[in-house]
Amino acid sequence: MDEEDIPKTANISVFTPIIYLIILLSCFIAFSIIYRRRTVRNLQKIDPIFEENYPLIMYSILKDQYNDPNLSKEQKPHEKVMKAALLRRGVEAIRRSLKLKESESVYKSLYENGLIGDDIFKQYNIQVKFQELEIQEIARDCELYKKGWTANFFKVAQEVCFNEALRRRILIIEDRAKDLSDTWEYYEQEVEKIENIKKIDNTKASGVEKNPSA
Amino acid sequence: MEVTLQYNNTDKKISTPSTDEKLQKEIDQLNTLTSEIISNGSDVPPIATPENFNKDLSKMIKKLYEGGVQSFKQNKFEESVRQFTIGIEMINRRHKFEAFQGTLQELSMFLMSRTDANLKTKRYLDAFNDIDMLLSMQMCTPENFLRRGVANYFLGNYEAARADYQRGLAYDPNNRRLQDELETCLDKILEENGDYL
Repeated sequence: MDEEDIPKTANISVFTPIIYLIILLSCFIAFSIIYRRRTVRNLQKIDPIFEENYPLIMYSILKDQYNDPNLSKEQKPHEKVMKAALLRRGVEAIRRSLKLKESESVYKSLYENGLIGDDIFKQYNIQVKFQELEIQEIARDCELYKKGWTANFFKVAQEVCFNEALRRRILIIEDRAKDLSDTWEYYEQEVEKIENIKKIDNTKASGVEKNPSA
Repeated sequence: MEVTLQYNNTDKKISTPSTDEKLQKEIDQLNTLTSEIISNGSDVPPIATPENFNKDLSKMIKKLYEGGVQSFKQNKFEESVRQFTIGIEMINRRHKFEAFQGTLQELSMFLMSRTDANLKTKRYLDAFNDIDMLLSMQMCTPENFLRRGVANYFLGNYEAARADYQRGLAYDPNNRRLQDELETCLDKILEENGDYL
């Protein structure tokens, strides 16, 4: 009876808990890596709402050239070119943010009423997050060219954004006149066609009335 | 996306061998902005204020506007349209980082006056185009709705004209001119439908 009560002990190495912890941590890290990769892969599958961001691509190319130690001073873009390129990138970021802000209520009400699915609403939310990150990155880059420029940068970018929008509308006036003219001509022709058909129908009807035996 | 950019150190301009129209437009925008920053002289583009609004250009634009109005008063409507068009082109040449509000005010003045001149020269489509642009920029005044209504009326869009007059009257119910034009327009709609009061 006494022999049964004595707990059995086993000698284990001091490394056993350490190995246990290492295995546990490795599993956790592996899970985390796989999970993150899958999340990134899923994010990559989502189509962006906007088209290609050319100002961003152009700025990245110019920045690479600007920081390339193998290029001579003549081959590197001038600092003002870099500032203009960054400003253009900022203008595009503001334009996109404004577009997203404008459509926020539409997306929300459509989603709440079940008219769009989770995928589209997720696409919108990811785009919003992406724009926030883009603006943060622009703000960081501002400091590379002039200390404290960030404070004024977005005010200037907003002004440029509005002025460019106004210019786009002025420049489109002539093309718009042509389009409007074409549309109205088309409608006039259609109305004329309908009137001609009506006239023919009326003539036929009156002919039948005059000659009921026919 | 593969984009190739070439930089010319002499004129500080960017170019590309690509034929992509959108890319070309973006490059043009960038080159314009670069030259404006260089010509401005300051280290970075300044914040837009009424003080740094280009005053020389403002004087020239004002002169063109007064010239256009003068021609209009002398019944030289073609000349008036021409002067307003040049003025609009000049507004387009302002630096992009100049005050947007100032540019918008100038532009609205020119578009309104060019609409009047176009209505007088019976170019109703151009008049409609100008004033429609102005209304889409939230310049919602009874007079602007009257202008678009008149243009629509003479283009034969009577229903659209009626809507414009009614919207103008929503802003100013006692506007005599709008009331008269609406009455004429309603008569015309009845006539079109083979009816009368």
